[in-house]
Amino acid sequence: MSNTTHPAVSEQLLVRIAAGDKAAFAELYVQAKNPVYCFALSILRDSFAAEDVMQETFLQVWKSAPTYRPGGKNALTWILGITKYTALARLREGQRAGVPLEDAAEKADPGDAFRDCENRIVTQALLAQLAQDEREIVVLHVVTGLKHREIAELLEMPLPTVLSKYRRSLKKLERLVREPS
Amino acid sequence: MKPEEIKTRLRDEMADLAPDRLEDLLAACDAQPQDTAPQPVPVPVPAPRRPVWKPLAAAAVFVLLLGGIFGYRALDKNVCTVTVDINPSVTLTVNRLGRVKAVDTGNADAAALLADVDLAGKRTQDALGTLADALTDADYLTDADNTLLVTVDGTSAARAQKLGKAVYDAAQASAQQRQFSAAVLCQQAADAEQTRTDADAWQVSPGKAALAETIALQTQLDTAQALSALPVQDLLVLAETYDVTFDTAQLYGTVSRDGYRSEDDVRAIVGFDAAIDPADCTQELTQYGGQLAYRVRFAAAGGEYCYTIAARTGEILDVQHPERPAQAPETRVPNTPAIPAETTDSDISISEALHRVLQELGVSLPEIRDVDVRRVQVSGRDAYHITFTANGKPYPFYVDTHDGDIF
Repeated sequence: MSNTTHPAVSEQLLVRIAAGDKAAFAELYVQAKNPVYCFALSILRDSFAAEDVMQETFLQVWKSAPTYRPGGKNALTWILGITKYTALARLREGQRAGVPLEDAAEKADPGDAFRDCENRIVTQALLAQLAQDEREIVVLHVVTGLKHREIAELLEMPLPTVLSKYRRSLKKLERLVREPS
Repeated sequence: MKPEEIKTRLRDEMADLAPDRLEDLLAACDAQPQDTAPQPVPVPVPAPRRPVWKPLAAAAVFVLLLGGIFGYRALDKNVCTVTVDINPSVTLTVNRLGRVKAVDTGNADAAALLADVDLAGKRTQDALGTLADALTDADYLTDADNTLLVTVDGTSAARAQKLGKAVYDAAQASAQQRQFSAAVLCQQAADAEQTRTDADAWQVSPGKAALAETIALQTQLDTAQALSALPVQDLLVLAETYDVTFDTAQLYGTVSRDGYRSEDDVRAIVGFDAAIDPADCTQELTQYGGQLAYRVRFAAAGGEYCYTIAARTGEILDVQHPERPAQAPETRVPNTPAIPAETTDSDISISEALHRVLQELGVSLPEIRDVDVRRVQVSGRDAYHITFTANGKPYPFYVDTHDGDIF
């Protein structure tokens, strides 16, 4: 059982942003930039690309906020959906450059993953050794605080698959951290 | 590092990773018009589609629920009910002055437990202390089954939290006298007619029904009704395993796993039974026949295997494995050497090595715990280093991987 790391993002913020409220937009950015960035990083394994995707995500949020339909849900899920498609589009750009989509993230050098990595051994293990879907699931649950059901909807996977991949990924990380060689 | 430590570490490492580029973003927004859309609709107040409890994540002590009366219709506005579920179910009706006004036993076990004990009129803390002592004396609260579920109805969140903490303090005081630690999950009852109806139908307390509903909703392992048949300890182990989140519950203490077989034990049991090494098996906790069980799946020669192992005892509850087709002699191609019945691999399997050790020691597989097997080199020999505990004693063995010699 866990308490979520990040509280749910209020839909009211999006409603205010849709009316052009820059203060609300800044508040949203402060609340959501880390979940967005970490999720993008889990897909792209490149800190500079993740930063660009983060900025593009929020720009898209600004642009599309008027089209958002509140439904009593966690607005962060909507925002992370934008992050997902933006990051995948970025991967496809790599594909057009000759790198297959499924390989683009896998071939990224985890040494470029982020700038200050000396002491982040679990993050290093996650980025270097887990498969893309495993990275996404672990980051979405552990770092952004999404529930498994929300992750299943976001990643368009069956819930049991999310649960079992999550469990396996934690075990892998446990093994990798224990035996880094 | 344990999984909880991994999660905490990862959370800490990634807590503040994102760079701050708000200024750039705001500048970009100025150049980016917003989409035209209908006026935003105010966020509607969501009506609960199905009233579901959202207890805060407190794998709390299994509160003894007296009477199992959830949603007690208080005649006095100043009373609330505190229900403790562990197996006996006891509900205490408590007034604002902190006195127990009434005690209801929800089942025969609770009635038997409190047959010679009168809690009415006592101060709440004293009553809870007496209750906790009764539970530990009767071995309902033990080092293996250390959790109570507390459900508080008819009061504010703050008071509910105080009462939950009081139950934990009482249970912990009693437990520590017996040198173990208790745990309490304290949840606040919501006004959930459906949950009460389900609880009546399933013959459990409303607090337990709500807990089962939350776990079923988030894990989809099974129906809430099926999960409600599990003991509270098992439910909370499931909730922890699958990271079930609770919005209005508080966990005090740590849910004990002492009463359950480890995943390594389960893997060894399966490997021994199937006479193979299930190195790449997947395991998941689930419920089977009203008990917590491991479902172990792996692929081996012949196809897919699926074992269901009782999480507490290690008993094999169900096995599904491919039929091994009979080898008819005439199918052998002439002039081709016959394939021997046993493998010609130079190494014996881990399960074979373990089998030899158990035979040597004269113990059976269900009697051993904490099995660990590693491949090592000893004085130039390739060997399995097998360790386990049996009857409380640790045992180490080396088994030659080639000839199975124990040395």
